[in-house]
Amino acid sequence: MKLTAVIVEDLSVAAEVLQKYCVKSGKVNVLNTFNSIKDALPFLCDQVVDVIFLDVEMPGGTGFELLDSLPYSPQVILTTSKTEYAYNAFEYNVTDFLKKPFTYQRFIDSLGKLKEQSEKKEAEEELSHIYIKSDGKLIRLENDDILYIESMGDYVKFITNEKKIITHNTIKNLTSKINPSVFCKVHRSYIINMNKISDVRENMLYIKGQMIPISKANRSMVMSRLKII
Amino acid sequence: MQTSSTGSFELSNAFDVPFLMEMHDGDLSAISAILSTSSQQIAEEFERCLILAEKGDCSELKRRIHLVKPLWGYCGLPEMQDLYQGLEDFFAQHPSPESMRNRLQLEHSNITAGLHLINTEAYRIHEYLKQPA
Repeated sequence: MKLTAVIVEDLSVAAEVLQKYCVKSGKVNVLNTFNSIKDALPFLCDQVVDVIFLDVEMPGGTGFELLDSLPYSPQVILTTSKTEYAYNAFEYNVTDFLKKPFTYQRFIDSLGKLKEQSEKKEAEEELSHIYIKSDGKLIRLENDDILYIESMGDYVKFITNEKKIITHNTIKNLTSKINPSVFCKVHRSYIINMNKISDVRENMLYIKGQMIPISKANRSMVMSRLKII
Repeated sequence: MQTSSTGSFELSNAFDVPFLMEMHDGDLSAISAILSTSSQQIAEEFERCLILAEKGDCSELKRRIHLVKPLWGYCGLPEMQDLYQGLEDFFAQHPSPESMRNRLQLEHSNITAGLHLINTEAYRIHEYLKQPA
């Protein structure tokens, strides 16, 4: 699928060449081209795009001011003739920095970086939540909302700040499906969110006042994941 | 004039020929168009810059130089882009109106020569493309 893009560039020759590169690549669909921040902002607030090709020094404000005003964070490729902006580019987490004029090959390298970044973002997004079946529907739970998961025989109970959800599953099965950087099996009957532990005492840990046992088999692994200073 | 072959037409080696050919897929009419458009804009902006120097409007002068600076690069003349970068850096130091005028006058002949190169090449391509195949 093609990436949707907007070009924000006050030098018409530069905008035309960039547009031509986008068409030639067959990978980018340019929705619009603007020669000022003032014109680009309403469009970009209304229309979410995958990438903005953004000049820095523009009439009516800098490209960075445009990024500050956007309600979302698209990928950004800065196109400028001034290398001094490299530091700001880093600060704004832009995907790439193209010094004008640039070759088609350099542009293609940038598209490669875009793809890499969006795959990374998708992978992170995928690991940020789970769906569980309950009451005949699929319920989305953000990892950050889950305090711990408790076994109930053939069922498990997801404990969040606001609710408890029971679903048909097992701790053993869940262990291989949850994000291992967030969750940890501490006992055959418990998986906990490592970020929610309030304190640890001997073979117990506490989450929101709830005591959770740590089995002998899991204790050293749990302890190794705590940042003890 | 040294030239570099592109089919039966030879672009002047004063230009970064591989860059121009890559940017436009060897399309001579596209190269000619970008040379003509850029030359016109650079010339117009330079006239504006001379007026701004007379007025002593340093920040607008710097902005104008910055705007057209990459056009030299798009024409395959990176050394002229560097010359403009030097001008931009100079105006960033907020020199006196007299220094501004002097600096522009100093570079005037280089800029005129650069524009002449571009116009000549655009014309050569134009004439070549007019020939029957």
